[in-house]
Amino acid sequence: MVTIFRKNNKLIYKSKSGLMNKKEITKAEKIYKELSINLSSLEKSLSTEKNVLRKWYKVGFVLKKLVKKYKLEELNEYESFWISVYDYVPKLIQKNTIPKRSINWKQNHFYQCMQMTKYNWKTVMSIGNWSIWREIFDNKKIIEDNRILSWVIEKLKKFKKYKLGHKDIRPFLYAVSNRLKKIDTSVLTQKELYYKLDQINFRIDPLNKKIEFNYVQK
Amino acid sequence: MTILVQPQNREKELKTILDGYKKFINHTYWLSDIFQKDGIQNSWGARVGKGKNWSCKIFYSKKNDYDIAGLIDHGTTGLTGIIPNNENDIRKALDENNPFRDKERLSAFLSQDWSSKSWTDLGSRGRGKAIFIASSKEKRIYFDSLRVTDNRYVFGSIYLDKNTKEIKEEILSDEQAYNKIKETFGNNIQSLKDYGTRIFIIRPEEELIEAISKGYIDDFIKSTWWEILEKYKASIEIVLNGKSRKIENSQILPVNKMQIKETYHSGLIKLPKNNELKIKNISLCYLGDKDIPEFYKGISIQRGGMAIERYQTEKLLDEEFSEKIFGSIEMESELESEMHKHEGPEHCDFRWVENPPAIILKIIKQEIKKFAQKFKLIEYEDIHVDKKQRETELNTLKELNDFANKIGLKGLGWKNKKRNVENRDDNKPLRLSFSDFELPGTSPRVEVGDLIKGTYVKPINETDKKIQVLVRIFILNESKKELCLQEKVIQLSNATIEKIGWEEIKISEIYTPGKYIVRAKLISLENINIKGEINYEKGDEIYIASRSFYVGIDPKSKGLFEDIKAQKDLSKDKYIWVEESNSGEGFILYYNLLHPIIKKLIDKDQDSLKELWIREGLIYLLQIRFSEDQSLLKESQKPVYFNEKNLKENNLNVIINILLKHRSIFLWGREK
Repeated sequence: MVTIFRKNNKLIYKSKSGLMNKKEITKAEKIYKELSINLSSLEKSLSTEKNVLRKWYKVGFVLKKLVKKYKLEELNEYESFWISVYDYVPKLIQKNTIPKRSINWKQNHFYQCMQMTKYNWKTVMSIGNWSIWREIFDNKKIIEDNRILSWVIEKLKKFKKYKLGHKDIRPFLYAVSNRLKKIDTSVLTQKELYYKLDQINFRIDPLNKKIEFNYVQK
Repeated sequence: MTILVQPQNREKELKTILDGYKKFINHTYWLSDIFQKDGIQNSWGARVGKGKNWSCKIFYSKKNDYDIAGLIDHGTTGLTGIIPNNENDIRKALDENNPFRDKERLSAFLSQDWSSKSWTDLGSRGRGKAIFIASSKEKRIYFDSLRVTDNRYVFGSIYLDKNTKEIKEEILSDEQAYNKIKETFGNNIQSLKDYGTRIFIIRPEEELIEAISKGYIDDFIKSTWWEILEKYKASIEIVLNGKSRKIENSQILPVNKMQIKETYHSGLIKLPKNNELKIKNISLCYLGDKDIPEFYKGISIQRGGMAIERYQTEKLLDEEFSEKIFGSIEMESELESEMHKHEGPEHCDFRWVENPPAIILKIIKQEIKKFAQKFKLIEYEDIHVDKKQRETELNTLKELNDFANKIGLKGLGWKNKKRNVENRDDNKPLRLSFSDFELPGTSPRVEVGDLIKGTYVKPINETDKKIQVLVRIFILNESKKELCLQEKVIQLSNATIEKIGWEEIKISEIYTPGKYIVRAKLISLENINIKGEINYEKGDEIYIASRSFYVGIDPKSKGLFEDIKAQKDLSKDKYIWVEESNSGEGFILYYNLLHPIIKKLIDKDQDSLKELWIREGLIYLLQIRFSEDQSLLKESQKPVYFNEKNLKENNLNVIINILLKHRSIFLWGREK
């Protein structure tokens, strides 16, 4: 696949191998045209959208459609595609240029927007704001298996009353990842999986907004 | 009669176009040279079929007031397409959305800088007409054409209106055309009887007359069109006052014509990063004491049977004998089309800094080196060095690559992943063996069509206990997408003999260029406790094994410098120098064992030798960074290391000072 970057109104064509044929160029031009049109048409409706989470959720949907339609996931250039998305996003949606972390596609903001659309809006909302979602995405073990995410969501719902910020829940998400670090959860039944997860021993200190681990009840 | 004003670029002066050509052709008869090149190119491009019945004649005839040169072709389509009544007709015909645009040869001919041709055709910028007009003292040409598509005849003229300074055109068809040619030329010239096109240059420039009458043009044609003369037996003739002479095949190219031992043919070469693009052949010849005829010097870069450019061999290999090497490169049609996109508008050069031309240049360079080594034109080869010296080389390499990383020169292998040492331990009692994995060659690079054998794992259990495991094997692309997967539940004991995976995988088209990983996992399906020493819970990944291969690309190197190598070279100018590596993805630092300074240190003072390499290597690093930063600046991107003021410096003394200052900073930091 050819990736088309847009810098200072110039189009820069790139491909993994450094070479590209006419067919690939035409296909890429079609994809990027569609991307540009779809994102621009979204711009109007998003300019009045105050809920950041909903905004990214909508952007994620547009991207998911494109990725699915052109089977971009199967291509070796998938990584650079996510970098190039930054060049096509209207300013109203994203003002800044690509941050360093987005160069890694799994941490790419727009890739994560798309990841979020795997879940229905109700689920997305129930977890919390965009920052909390990003924390979740940073722990790939959690999104690897839907059952883990569901377990985490249930826990996070319970945390809501403590009004924990995304940094406060970070140790908890890390503990989940760490517990399952070397485990292929696909071979486990739900009961077995949740048994392992329930072994994570923690409690919340509401005063200090802290999650404490290895808590031993007196 | 319809009088049309040329619709595009009308203010563009002929002179600008001609100057564009002039800079490529450095001899007195440059106009005749481009006349034949462009004229034959347009004609060969319009040939019917493969050109079996194609012929082209360049003529000059003078009798009293009749003073005409020109070009006639047969076995071509003629000037096909609509017969325009006005400029809008031409515009419509050449509109990009017109699906029959490539058939609109007449409109293209009448237009300037517009063309009906696709990228795969020979000429596609339509500048050639300017050459015809420029070749006429009156700045007037006539043309006629009998069209193969509809049997219609057209006659017309194109001229520079000296009052308005506009290029004007007249075009007539059928009956009117037959009458007009008679009115214009009387009985001197008859209308065309065979399909094809004719161009008449009225009162040609002296230079063109001389080249035709003295036969210089014959050499220009041979050196430009040697490939079609040879391969297609193309018929090209010169007709001087009714007397015809055939252009014979070149005696210089293809290189076998020279009947010299020192000739070389590369054969088919696939471009490293795209297997669809192929070089048909690179032919080289070394002439020794003899001189290469002027028009054949360098490597003839061929496209569509025509020598587009001759790339000077001296620029490719910095050796005294380089200018004695000449040859040609022919490419397959897909690559020709790609190259055409990077060709200058005059069809006389390529933009070599772009890709794929840059890749082609690298390949030619490598082939010339191979050729020179084969015939011992260069003696140097990689010298074996002793263990101690190799250690010094590797230490230097590491340090230089660390410096390179610091200034953003990461080569292509900067993503050195941490290996899971635990999993590499072959002594683990529960493990997977990938021992039969076998790539077709010695490097991890494979091509489409290759077979990789033994893409399976064998689970091993050296304990006394039987355990239930899952063995899963899959292939991942660079985006970590699974391409195929196999898995099996096994009661694994020390007697188990199982293979999970594929006996072989064939690299098909679905493997686009990139890195692939065959990964296998041994997953526990029960809680295991063997003598308190081996503990696994259900789901634990007991063992992970991976093998990787690269389709159509070379594996990434570990840094900017791929290696440090010794050479023995008597040329005094060879001390420590840097060359691009054969993979094209990094550099090699060479040192000359025969240089007195290196000779003094070798085997005696490894530390000083390392210092020397680092000091010299740093200069090269900084120079590479400097030029890369300059390129970034040109592309309106932020330079990585040097500041804008430094990068805009043209004075060599100042640049050297900048590089030396930065080297000093690095050396200072290193000592600390």
